[in-house]
Amino acid sequence: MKKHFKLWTTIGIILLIFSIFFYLQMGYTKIPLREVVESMKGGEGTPNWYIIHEVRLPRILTSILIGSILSMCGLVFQGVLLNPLADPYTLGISSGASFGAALAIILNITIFGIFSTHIVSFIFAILCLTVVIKMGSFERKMNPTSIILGGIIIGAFFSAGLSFLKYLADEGVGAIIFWLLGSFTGKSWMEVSILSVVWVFGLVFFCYYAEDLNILALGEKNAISLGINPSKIRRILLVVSSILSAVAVSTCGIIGFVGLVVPHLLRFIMGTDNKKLIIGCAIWGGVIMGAADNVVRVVLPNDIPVGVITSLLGAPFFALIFRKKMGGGNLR
Amino acid sequence: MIDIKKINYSIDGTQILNNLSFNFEKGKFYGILGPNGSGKTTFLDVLSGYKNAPDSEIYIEDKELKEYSHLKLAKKIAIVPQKFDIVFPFSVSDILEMGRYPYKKKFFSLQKKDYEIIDRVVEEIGLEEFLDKEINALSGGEEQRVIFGKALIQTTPILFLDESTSNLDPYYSHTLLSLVRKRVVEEKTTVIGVFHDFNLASLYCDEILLLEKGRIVTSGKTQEVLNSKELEKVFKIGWEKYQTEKNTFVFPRLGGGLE
Repeated sequence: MKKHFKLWTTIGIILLIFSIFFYLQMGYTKIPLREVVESMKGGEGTPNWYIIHEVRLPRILTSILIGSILSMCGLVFQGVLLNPLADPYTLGISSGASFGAALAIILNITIFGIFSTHIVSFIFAILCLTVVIKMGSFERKMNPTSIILGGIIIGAFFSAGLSFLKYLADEGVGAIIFWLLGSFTGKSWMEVSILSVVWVFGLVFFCYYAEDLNILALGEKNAISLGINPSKIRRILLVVSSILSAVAVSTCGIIGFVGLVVPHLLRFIMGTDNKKLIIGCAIWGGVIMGAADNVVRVVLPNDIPVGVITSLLGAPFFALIFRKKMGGGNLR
Repeated sequence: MIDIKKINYSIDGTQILNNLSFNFEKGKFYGILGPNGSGKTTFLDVLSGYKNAPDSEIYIEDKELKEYSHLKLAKKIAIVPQKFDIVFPFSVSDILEMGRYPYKKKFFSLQKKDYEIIDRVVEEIGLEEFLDKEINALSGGEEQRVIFGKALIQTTPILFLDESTSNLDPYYSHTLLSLVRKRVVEEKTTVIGVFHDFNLASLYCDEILLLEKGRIVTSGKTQEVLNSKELEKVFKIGWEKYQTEKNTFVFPRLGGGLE
């Protein structure tokens, strides 16, 4: 299949911009497009302006940014660990973050104000990352297999801890479960600004290392002979993409499958070159997550957490692509 | 070119390379022969910076190996490894372009000069028809030609071949080795190749090093080494020799009453 990078990038960008305007109209209160466009010019104070600017826009932008970040991180994890099944949570970050959030909820930690839960969960995600990287490194060399194994061990440990906390929480278990199921409900400009900064940093950083990521795929010996220090590149990329994922998880909870599926989807239409895929993931991750959250917000009742939907739809979809790909005898 | 004062290398107390020393001169094709486990690949791994031998003293173009960064070394030495495993299905042209990585600036695309180098090698090796194909879809021999091409595109003064032609049919073995030979003569490239096929070594190498248990048993002009007593001793079988005007070819003699 011919890989059309420019075509798909252009389609993605156009789709992204149009979809924002499209989603802004939709919701409990229908707002006509004309009014949406006018509210961009001004007219503060009216109820519709408030709905558009303080409720819908931050939520839509948050969903797009999170989708974009998770997809880029998924791509980087797959490339660094040379494992097509890796995703942003491979290093056990989601378990660490969940445990931290549950702990903050149960102990009612409020030292960081309204963001206490987010900050505690971030701290635990980083703790996880540090332990896993320590476990996976021997004599300053980093082995993908031991990293993945470390992630599984730490993940299992914190999952057990989380179960224990849920057991202790008794009636508070609802709050924990609600937090764990990723959702974009009630996100404000605060989240949007944090995520934007992280997103810009991530995109530039990953573009800078995209070529090194390509070369890692040639194997250790080839990579070294081309002038790369694989252990160093792996460590830098793992740490940065884990921190980005930790930010994503601690702001919006666990949203599964996006980080795994989007990179594969894009390999399908754009080829294997990570320079192109990073851009592709940044755009299409946003398109897909934005659409998923809009379905949750507008179509489905009761504002079901979007994490449930991405996994429910993502899993069969993923199975479908893989069946099709394996038909060609080539899983990757 | 490569001046080895000494190399000692051991894994878990087993000495793999034992006080090796040798001086490789510029513009010569060296062959390394030796039985399995004699340390041939490890020798190249240490010289290319893949394995770190703390107790060693190696100079590459008069500068000690330890002082080279990975990137600087990549402009001096290219290797064609014995085996490789590419996880994601890159296209052949993607992989060939990676050969220019040591010279490329971040965030910039390749220059016209880079593409000229790539085009030249593609033509020399005959990779035109594969450029858009995925590497995983190629046969073992075709894959090896791509990796060979990638190393030539790296345009280094030193080239290491680690049994690089083991997957290739005679036509491509000779095409590629002739290409390398041409680079040795015309561009004064220094080549060190590990061989299991003595007759290929006989045709292309200027000098041969015979390795056994991490030591150089003997070294010298190709024909002399192939005619030496040490060759029989090291490989523990008898050799029939066939002499032409320029080359010595050797064949294992059937032993153990099988004749």
